[in-house]
Amino acid sequence: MTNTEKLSLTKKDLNKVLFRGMLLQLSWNYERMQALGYCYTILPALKKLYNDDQEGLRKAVERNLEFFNTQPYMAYPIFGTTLAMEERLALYHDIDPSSISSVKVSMMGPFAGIGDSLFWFTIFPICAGIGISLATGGSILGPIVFLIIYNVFTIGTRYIGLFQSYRMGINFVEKLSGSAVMQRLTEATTIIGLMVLGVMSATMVKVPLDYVVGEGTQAMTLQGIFDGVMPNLIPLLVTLGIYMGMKKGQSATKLLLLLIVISIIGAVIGLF
Amino acid sequence: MITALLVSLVACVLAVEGMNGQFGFSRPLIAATIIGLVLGDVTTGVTVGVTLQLIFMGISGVGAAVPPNQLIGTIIATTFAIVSGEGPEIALTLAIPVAVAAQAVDIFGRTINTFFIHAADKAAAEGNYKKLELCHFGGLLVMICKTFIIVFPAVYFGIDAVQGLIAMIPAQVLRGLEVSGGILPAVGFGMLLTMLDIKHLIPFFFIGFALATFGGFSIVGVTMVAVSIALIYDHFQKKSENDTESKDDLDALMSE
Repeated sequence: MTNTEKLSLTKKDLNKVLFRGMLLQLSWNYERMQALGYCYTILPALKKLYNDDQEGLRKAVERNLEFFNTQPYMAYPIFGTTLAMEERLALYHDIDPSSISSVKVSMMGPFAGIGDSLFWFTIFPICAGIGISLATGGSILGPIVFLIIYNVFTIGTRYIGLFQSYRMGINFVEKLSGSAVMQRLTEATTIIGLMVLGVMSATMVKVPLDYVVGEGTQAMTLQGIFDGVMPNLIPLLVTLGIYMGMKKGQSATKLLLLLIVISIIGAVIGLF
Repeated sequence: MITALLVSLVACVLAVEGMNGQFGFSRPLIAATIIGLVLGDVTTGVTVGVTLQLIFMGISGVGAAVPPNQLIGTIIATTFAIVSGEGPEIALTLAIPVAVAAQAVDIFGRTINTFFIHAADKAAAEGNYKKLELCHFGGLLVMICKTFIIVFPAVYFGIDAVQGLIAMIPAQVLRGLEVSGGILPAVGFGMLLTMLDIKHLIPFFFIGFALATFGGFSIVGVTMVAVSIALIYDHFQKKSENDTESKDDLDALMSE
């Protein structure tokens, strides 16, 4: 076995990264955010790569204590890419150490953006929406189904993200950041997110206008009148109203409280 | 006392999971279900979970922003809903103020953590990597403390006080709260909309809305349509790009 083979990372080393990365945000702080978590995650791999080069290891650790923040699942492709670079540096000394830092920095922004829109605003709402629709009447099936389908994505992204990016190494970064792919990926996920959001506004926002207009056989609830114009019109308007409010800089908390107050006033005057 | 300890324990474990493992256990839907399991009323747990999940749907920690702590809000609210026997409506009144209060404590905790990154710098300079790892776990201690400090007293001292308060609430106000449970998901959805705010794509929101309203489509049905549309849309985007170099990148990424 040559020295190079002995020092390059194995599946076992990467598995360690896989598990440690799940504690990425343990020491999240305002100064350097996920920096210490990042360093903690790849520390065993660095120790192996730099073996008995104490000075090299110290430099690598310090390099990986720099500011870092991204979407937690999307950190994995970054772990893989930077480890491929660290390995190259440790074994062949033919890349500039500062390029590792700059790759890290250039990846974390766009990956956070994609991860946020993909996971927090698309996959999570869809999975939770499916779970909620199965949880009617307090059925535990809903929560269980949510956990299963959601984690196919969270575990899959971490595993594939780490191993594929390590294999593809530096190539991966160029592939992703050097083109219009990022924008296209964002647009495609946004389309899915928006359409699902449309369904959820229609089916999950409920404004029960029980107020009765007219008398006797002419009596109609307000709800019935609006449904005649267009079903789900009020939920749509409320959702769009909130969207406008937020665009104008209103905070979510303020709007939540406003809606609660309106609901209570509505109930007191008999609107609902 | 045992209830308070059990609930606090669950809260601490889920708080760590929420920031780290992130398998979805700390989301209101699951957290409320777990509290339901622990306190022996799964049905109420799931029902509260559904209500709160809808409200908190669009609220995730994006970037450096600290969102209202939906986990602690959910846990305290679910516990009260089950212990007081008042049902899911009461959970709603509690969840939001508690979540906002806990948010303030979160911000404080993340400020304290700054201490550990400096300690880690020192450990790195000394080449003491065991100590560096220990610094990382300092954050765990902070997380557990801040969760326990809110949840334990709230559950231990709060139930009687909260029950007294509930008895004073007029029926119409309770009805209003029930109604607001139906309306509040709009906040999460409105917030998601601002996140997905790409002007020329906004019509897709209305397509989804129309499919559900007039076509009776379920979420799964619309997701299938949406994925198909996204793929077709991307195909034409790609065609119109003259940049031949990046031509096949997305396909390459998708197939990996």
